Amino acid sequence: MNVIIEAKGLTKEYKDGKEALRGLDFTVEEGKIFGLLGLNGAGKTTTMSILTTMIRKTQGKVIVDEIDLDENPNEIRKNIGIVFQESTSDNQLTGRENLQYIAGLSGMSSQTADQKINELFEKMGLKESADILVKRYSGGMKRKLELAVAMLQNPRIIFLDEPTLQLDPASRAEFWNYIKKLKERTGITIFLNTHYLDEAEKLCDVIAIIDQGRIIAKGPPDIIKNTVKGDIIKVKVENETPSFNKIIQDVHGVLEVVKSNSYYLIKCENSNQVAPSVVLKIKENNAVLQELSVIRPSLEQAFLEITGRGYTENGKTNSDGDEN
Amino acid sequence: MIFNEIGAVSKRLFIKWKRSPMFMVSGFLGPLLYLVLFGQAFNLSALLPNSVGNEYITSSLLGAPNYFSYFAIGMVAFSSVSIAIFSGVNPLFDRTSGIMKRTIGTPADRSSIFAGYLLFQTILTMIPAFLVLVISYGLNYIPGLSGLTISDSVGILNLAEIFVAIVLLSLSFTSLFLAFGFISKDNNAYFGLTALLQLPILLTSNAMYPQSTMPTWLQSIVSLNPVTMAVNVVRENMFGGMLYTYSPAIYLAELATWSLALIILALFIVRRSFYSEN
Ligand SMILES: Nc1ncnc2c1ncn2[C@@H]1O[C@H](COP(=O)(O)OP(=O)(O)O)[C@@H](O)[C@H]1O
Ligand SMILES: [Mg+2]
Repeated sequence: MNVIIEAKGLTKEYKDGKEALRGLDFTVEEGKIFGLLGLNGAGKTTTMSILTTMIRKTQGKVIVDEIDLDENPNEIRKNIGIVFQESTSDNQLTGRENLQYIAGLSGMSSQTADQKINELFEKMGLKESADILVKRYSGGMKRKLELAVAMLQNPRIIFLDEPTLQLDPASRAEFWNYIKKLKERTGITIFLNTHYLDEAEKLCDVIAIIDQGRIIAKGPPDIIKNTVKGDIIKVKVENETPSFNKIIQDVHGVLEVVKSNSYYLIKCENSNQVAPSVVLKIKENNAVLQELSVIRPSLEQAFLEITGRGYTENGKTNSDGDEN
Repeated sequence: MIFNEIGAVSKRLFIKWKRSPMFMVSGFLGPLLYLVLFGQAFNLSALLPNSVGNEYITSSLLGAPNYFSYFAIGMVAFSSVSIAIFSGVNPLFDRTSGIMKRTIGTPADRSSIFAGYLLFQTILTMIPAFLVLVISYGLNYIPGLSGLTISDSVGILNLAEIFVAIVLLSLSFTSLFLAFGFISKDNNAYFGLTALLQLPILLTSNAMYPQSTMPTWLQSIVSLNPVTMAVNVVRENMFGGMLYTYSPAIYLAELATWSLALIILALFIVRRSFYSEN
């Protein structure tokens, strides 16, 4: 497999002294969807901004499509497409005018551009809206337009920074579908920043988990999931003794017990073996079992564990609201 | 290739301008009001006793036959400055709306991007100068108003020099305010600064009053002001050059130096702003 992006010892210290990246090493293989997964403030946008030559790195070596970032940053921009985290279209222009603008800046002749633009509008289902002002576009349409802009010069790599942020579930699913098809059809390499675990899991061939400027795990989603040992048995009981926690802890095969709200989260290697023993212990204790469920390893759980944020009730991450 | 890129930037700005030309109108209205209100009302000759004679007035006004003609040329230059002040608005808004990010993320040469803005904004800046010129001349045909009175010998070469002066003046101030627009953090910073600069630029030039009547410290500042240089070129070509220290060519050379310096400075600042991290 061909390596198309390579970063070695990549660091970034912002002017205010903030160390956003503290030595990243990763490679992206050609034709794959590579996901950089992390909470807000982890350093995803910073990484992408450096790879796409939008900001300067502090240290490290970066190669994008065989071009050394230090030697020829301008050349890199010829082979890539970028979908920024925020909208970057001109609202006072129509969708078509936006694309024509970028085509002009990318050195495309107007004939080639017009043809490509029509083709993109067609594929994205934006044909009817091509000639209305972007300020009339819905959020989903704007995202598609951003993607169309990124695809304009037939890039070899596209960078997507949280592309489905603020999209409703239906538009998100549609967007994912499009990306998958795009990859299959064109063999394009996709570098995806996301803090959505489901997005990373559904879309990516390889995930790198980034936390506080460091990559702390990488691999295919399945393998990352398996780094988490065991299942969680979630029980709700009544009339338990104060030492209930300790009693369950001593059950053979139990690794850890955490009380979260009215639930006990029992972490164990194999829930099939441990669950019956737990039920038995509850009975012996004269407590009343009200609910029992098993949570199997998920990427969410793996993520929380790897980032050292522990596991919480029903695996809900706090990533949505966490700034920094 | 480069022309493609410059053209793309200018074209987008033009499309936007067509859709809301408000800045142009408001910027242009100021000098126009000066012209018809101040220029018409302020009759310098009426303040002087008859014994002084026209010759004295003409020599104080450096060859202009009357104050309105003198002043109108000042307003030609000033109208450009008034529009140039808005040159930074496009890059300022483009930064906040994200389209600037998109623009610099393309393979386009980053100097061409600046050149695209400069081209469009300079043309926009030049238009009011020509409009004021034509309107002041047109006032001759409206009974009861004084108009721009020019020498009989004005020919195509004079007009060419006037044209070049207006181009160079527009390039100078457009570059300056474009650079402000690229680096301003927000609207307040930009408009605060430009509001602060507009009047001093006008008042440290000979647009409204002859330089000879000013205190000496001010006179030397006035000589350095690009507005003065442009105004001198236009007046010499319109009224005759006997009373000027230098020929129009010298003033043009000075003006060209200014615009070159300001373009290079702006290019430097703008290119740097493309890498700014916020
Ligand atoms: N321009 C900047 N100046 C200073 N610090 C910044 C700047 N941009 C981002 N940061 C900081 O760098 C860290 C990483 O930010 P970012 O790369 O945007 O994270 P992510 O995209 O993963 O949410 C954060 O702590 C953020 O506050
Ligand atoms: Mg981000």
